[in-house]
Amino acid sequence: MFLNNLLIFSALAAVGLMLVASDWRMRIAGLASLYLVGFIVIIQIWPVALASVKLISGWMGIALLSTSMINSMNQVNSHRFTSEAVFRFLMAVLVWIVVVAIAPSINEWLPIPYTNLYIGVSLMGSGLLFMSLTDDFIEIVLGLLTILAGFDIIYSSLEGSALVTGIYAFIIILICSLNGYFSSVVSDRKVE
Amino acid sequence: MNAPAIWIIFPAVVSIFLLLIKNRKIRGYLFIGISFIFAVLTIFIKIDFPGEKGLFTIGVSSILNILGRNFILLENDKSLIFMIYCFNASWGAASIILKKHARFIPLGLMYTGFLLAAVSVEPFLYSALIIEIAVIMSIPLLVNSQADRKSGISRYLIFQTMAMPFILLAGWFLAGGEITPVNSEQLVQAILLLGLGFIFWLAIFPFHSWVPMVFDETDPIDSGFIFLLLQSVYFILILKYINEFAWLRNYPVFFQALRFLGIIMAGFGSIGLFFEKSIRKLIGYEFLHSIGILLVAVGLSAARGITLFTYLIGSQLISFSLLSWSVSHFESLEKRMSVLSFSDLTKKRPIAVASFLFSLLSLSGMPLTIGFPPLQTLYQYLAADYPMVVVIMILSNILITMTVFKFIKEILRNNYEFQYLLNEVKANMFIFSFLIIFIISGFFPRTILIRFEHLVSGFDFLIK
Repeated sequence: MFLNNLLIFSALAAVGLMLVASDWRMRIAGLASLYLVGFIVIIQIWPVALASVKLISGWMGIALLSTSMINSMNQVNSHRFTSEAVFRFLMAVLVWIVVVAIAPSINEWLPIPYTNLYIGVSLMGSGLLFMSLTDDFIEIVLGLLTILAGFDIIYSSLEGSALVTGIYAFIIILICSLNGYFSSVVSDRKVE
Repeated sequence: MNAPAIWIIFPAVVSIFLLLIKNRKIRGYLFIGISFIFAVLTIFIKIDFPGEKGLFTIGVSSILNILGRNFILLENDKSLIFMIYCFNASWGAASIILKKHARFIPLGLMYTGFLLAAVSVEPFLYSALIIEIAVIMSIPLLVNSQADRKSGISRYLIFQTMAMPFILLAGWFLAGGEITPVNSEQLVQAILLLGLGFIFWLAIFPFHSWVPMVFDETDPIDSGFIFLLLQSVYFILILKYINEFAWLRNYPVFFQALRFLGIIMAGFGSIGLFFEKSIRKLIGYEFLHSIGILLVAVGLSAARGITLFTYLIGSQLISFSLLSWSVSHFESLEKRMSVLSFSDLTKKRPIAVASFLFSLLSLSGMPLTIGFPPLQTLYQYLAADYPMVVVIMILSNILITMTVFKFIKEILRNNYEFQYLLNEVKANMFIFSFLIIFIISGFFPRTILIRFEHLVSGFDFLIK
């Protein structure tokens, strides 16, 4: 019970950090924490070897994101007003409250542990919120990764397949590489 | 040796090797040649052939096993493979003849491989994951890394990614229900999830906003290639779902929903097209309109709807290709053209303008074009059972025809002589010859469209 509450709190704290922080390093640290929480949730259902694929692929993706951000001219470190941070946080809180209200109904559809369901749906909702408040590609990628991390927790609780895990890991890395592609300094047309 | 290795793995590997070739022209020719070879191989290779093989016949197995899951390409799938690789070759040829630096050369082969993998994977719920990979890898094929406008591409990525969870969850619900679902509640849940997945995939209202935006941000030769293939594969997957699940094809609400969504898309597409000022976005709206018509055809439910769908997709692939090539040809003069500058184009690119207008007319089902017979048959079927749908459908096509007439009026207002047209014929022999074939095919549409009937030959339960 304590561990479950701790996991829920950690997941919400990590995604809250991603939403509020204006430094890209903090947002990426939030995402890395999310993958760690996801790993701890999944390890309770799956063997360590398979669950660790999720953690490793997620962190590999984060390494790719960080490298592309460091190399990028356009480092997203825009200053955020306190009012904006408060607004974002309150919106996230609203999403989490809505999830508390709808989680029991969803649980009738998806017979998985409540902790996994709550964390999964909250992350998906927060990711959606994260993406909808920006038009910056890196933030869209972060939002997508948050949604996918949330869905991963739900789907892993339903089904365990090596092929799905492998392809899913590949998709995460591809999405992160896409950010690298768009933040590259030199145009591919110019190279040619 | 097995069929998936030949038509999925080899093209992907070859496309990586082609990347190493620096010369664009050689790379383009190799892309066309290799695509053509993969298409021709469908004639000589027999899949799971039990009898004696002839002198020029090669027998291969249909199954490739990866991590306990099967990729299966059957003899029935060869028409789809042939169509896809011919499509690749023709688009490669068009890009070279029109002197365009198409971004889909050479990685388009890998993209094609992924799409075929999505169609062939068993259990087919995994197709959602493979489609997602294809979508992500299509993005560098659509835009330059330094593109100034990326909102459409971002939305494309978001909406296509959102589809994946819904399809995967639907697959989990359906896992035990190939014949009958456990209960009616589960049926509703599965259909809801599946429907949401397909709504995101096919850019159905209200998730359609990215289509005109992406078409505006990318060269028509790239967007046409990527989205025509993607749309065809999505529809094949829809048919696969309907074919596999007996209860789904006996569930009338499902087909009702397809018709309803189809008519919304056809309406939205044509209204958007009528009021649009940018030529690139105009193709995007036409794409939405085409999706709507195909959805209505599939929504007719019975075997007649599926056969009609093959004719429609055949005519739309041809017409839409010509439309994209024409616009791409205009753009050698000026990027992101407006419809207001259309009349000037007739002097500089008369054949491309004629092709543009004819392809739009074909897509609206004008008589003597290849799009007329299938659309006319669709009207006939709809008029018998769903008169309201046919009225909206006809109105949407009237809007497209009116748009074409607006263009013609604009041309006639500013140009009094057409002598430069003959001079241009020589310069644009490729598009001109395609236009002539296109017009002639309107007189004998069945000779071409009947080839597309084989696309659904594998769906025994649907075409009985």
